[in-house]
Amino acid sequence: METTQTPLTPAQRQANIDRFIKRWKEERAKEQTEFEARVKSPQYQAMLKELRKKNATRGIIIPEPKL
Amino acid sequence: MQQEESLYQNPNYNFDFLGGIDNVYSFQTQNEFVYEVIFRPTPYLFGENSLYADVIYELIIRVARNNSTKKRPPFDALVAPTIAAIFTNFYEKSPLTIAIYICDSSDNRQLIRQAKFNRWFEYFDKNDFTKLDDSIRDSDGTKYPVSLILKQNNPHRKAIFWAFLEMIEGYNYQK
Repeated sequence: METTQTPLTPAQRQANIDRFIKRWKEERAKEQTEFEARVKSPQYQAMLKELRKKNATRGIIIPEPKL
Repeated sequence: MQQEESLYQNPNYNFDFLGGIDNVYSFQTQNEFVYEVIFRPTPYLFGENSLYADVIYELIIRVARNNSTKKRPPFDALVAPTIAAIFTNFYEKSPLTIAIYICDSSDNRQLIRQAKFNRWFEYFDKNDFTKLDDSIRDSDGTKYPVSLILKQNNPHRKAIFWAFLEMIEGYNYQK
């Protein structure tokens, strides 16, 4: 790990935290876009259908989504 | 990975691992909510060149679909053990995983998310997993509760917690 050896000033520390939060928000926005595409895919719907069947074999009844 | 045993033996929902870069798991509940549990690579947490860069993941737990008439998921006793089972599954594949859970504050519900996650963590095997909680505050004054979760037997546990606290104190790395 690359850590600085000299103590950071409070302003430097805060700037680093702000950079981290900014990067995190950017990454979450990207992930959100990927998520929207994923859950709409036919493969995703097929996976959910298969999970409903598997749960049913164990007595867990999950209703079909209403269209 | 599907659980074929009875509900009595295995009190959680069946889940599926969709994989991908983000290591997506999915399960759905009797209350008609679809959840995703995601381990998204987060190499920038301690710096891209950190020793741990390849094993750090942001943990995202979200309602992916709400097929019910309810606005929010009601209590469901099977959700927490399912999330715990997913954790166990992922860490079996990648035992050195460091998961960071950051509570989204965009709707001011970060403390509710933190409390819910803490309740879910109660179902994790305490002999197997350990969690360190803290929070970071941006210059707007918004506070983000964060948790770091790793295996108890992670050989770098102390160094990772130290690096995490250092990050919390000031995200102290060279960019």
